[in-house]
Amino acid sequence: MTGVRLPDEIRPVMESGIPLVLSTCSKDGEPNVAVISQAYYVDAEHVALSYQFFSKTIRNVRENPRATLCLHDIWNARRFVLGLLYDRSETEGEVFERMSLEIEAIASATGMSGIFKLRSADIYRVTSVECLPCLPA
Amino acid sequence: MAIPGVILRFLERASIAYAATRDRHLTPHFHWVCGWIREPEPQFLTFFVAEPFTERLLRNVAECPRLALTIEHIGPHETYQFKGDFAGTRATGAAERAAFEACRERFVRDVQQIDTRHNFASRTLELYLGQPSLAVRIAVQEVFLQTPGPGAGRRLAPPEP
Repeated sequence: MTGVRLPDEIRPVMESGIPLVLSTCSKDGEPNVAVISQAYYVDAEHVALSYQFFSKTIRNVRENPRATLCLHDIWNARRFVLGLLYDRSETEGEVFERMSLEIEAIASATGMSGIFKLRSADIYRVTSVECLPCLPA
Repeated sequence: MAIPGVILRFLERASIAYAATRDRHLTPHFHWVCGWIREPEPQFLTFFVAEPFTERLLRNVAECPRLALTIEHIGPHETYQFKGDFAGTRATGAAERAAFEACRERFVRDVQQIDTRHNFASRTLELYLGQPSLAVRIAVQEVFLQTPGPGAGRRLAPPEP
């Protein structure tokens, strides 16, 4: 079965280095919103987010797998809002190694080498894609 | 719960914010926030939502009043998350417009200071921030530290036992 696919135009937005915003919800119904540094393109139907520290976001997606990710496309005055479903965590393999390397490079550049260690690459299935233009009031 | 004074003062230097609600299926939803304003009563805070995010926010809070609002000072990454209940909306007037313009000025300044890669023009960033379409009032019940680093996620108010 073919699921929702990410449009090609979203890849440069994901790779722009601009922080993203992840919304989650606990099993008790408490919403949470947090800034994350990067999302990784896995394939047209999946993205990966890094798990470095245990946080409310991590706890929430393990209780309730639904999440919403906002990506900023400032050049084109629009936002991509992705509906996500947490699928699995990977602690080895190509995606994990690629994310681990990038995180270590960022940490090294900011004098924090070894502190921001990747615990897992959390893989999410994309369930919806909205492209929302910045509108006047 | 009264928002502590140190957090109220933070609101005067912060430069970006995001809100989240959830629907009856526990699906979280993101809402773009383009500014905020302190309220005379320190247990309340009002934030401005830009289009096209107002309709879903109003639909969700009608089902569940819980709101999360994260506010960050871009640059030092000082960040706090406010959690509480939806406490109504109002039209934006002169006071809200002035607060929004101050937030917009800080947003543009702070993004341009931290960005060494994209060189966004001020007008591009102003367009991206958008305009307030709705002023949403939140009755704040908890404030969490969300600045990256040790202590992130700790509840600041009311203090943890």
